[in-house]
Amino acid sequence: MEKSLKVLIVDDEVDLSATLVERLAIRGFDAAAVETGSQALDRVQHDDFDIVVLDIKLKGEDGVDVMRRIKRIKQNLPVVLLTGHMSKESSEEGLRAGAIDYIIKPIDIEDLIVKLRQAAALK
Amino acid sequence: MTNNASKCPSGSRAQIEFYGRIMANVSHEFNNIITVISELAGLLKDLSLAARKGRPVPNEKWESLSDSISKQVARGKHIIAHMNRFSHSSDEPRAQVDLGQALENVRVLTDRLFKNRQTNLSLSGSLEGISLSTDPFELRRILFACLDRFLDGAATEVTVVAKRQEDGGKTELEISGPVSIAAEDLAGQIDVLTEQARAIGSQLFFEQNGNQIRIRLVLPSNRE
Repeated sequence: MEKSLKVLIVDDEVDLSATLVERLAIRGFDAAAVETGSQALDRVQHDDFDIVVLDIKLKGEDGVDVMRRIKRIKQNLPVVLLTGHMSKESSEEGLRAGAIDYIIKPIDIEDLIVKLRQAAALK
Repeated sequence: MTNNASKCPSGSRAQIEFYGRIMANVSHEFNNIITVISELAGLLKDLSLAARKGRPVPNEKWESLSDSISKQVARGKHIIAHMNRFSHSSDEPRAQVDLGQALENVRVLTDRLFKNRQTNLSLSGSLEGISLSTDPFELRRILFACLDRFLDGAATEVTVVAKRQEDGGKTELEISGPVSIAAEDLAGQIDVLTEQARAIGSQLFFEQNGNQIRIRLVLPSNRE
């Protein structure tokens, strides 16, 4: 049996991340969600995720900075950024800092799944 | 490309910038709401497809999803009501304005800015029944301009204390908290604020003690 991809969603919109976890589970992913950068770092350190989906604008935190800290723990862990205000600068900064792709909110679940599979294949 | 905004007189430019910040903030908040509702609608569809294929979904699940959608709709309605109030603040150059409502209007529309910086904004003292005859839009602009001084990431707590001055019918808003901005930059900003306050017939006083600043905005007001 094929192993489910383990996905960590990092977003301070709790209703959004909880719903995404359920939708991904229905599609065969093993997803978990956290609200803050420090919770994300803790989970990445102790669990074996295949991919992280990270909001670029967390409350009180810069998502790109959180991604850099994730990469210091697990350099090859793919990160897809979520953004609601996709300025050219923030997308470029995120991609330069090591994100493999980004998704603009509102999320297209099928687009997200394609990007998750592509990202996991790169791991 | 022609930059029309740069041709505006400085006052108009500052007003456009204020309106732009409010709009940017509100549109970001609406995008968040739409994103949550869109995912909830997607999950409803996922579950109804599953139910059609013979996998039963408990009634509590439908009810909980309905409650989650209602919560987001209420969040959106609250912002729309405040956005509407804010938009109408530029209808008249002078009107009787409820100070507490104007401050709440600014607080709701800029709430995300404070949350993003993990800055808590607390109000003490009552503004109930306090009103003033002024430019409703400019009052909001200076209230936000005062609060904006604390959005440089240094403050976890900003307090707004409302005090009624018994003699002369004035209300004072004392806004205090830490900042990390350089003293010379802050001085320039305070000069601009002082001019803004004067333009609506108010006075602005400023004190600095280390990284703590205190802005006192004294507004001519009436109590109903």
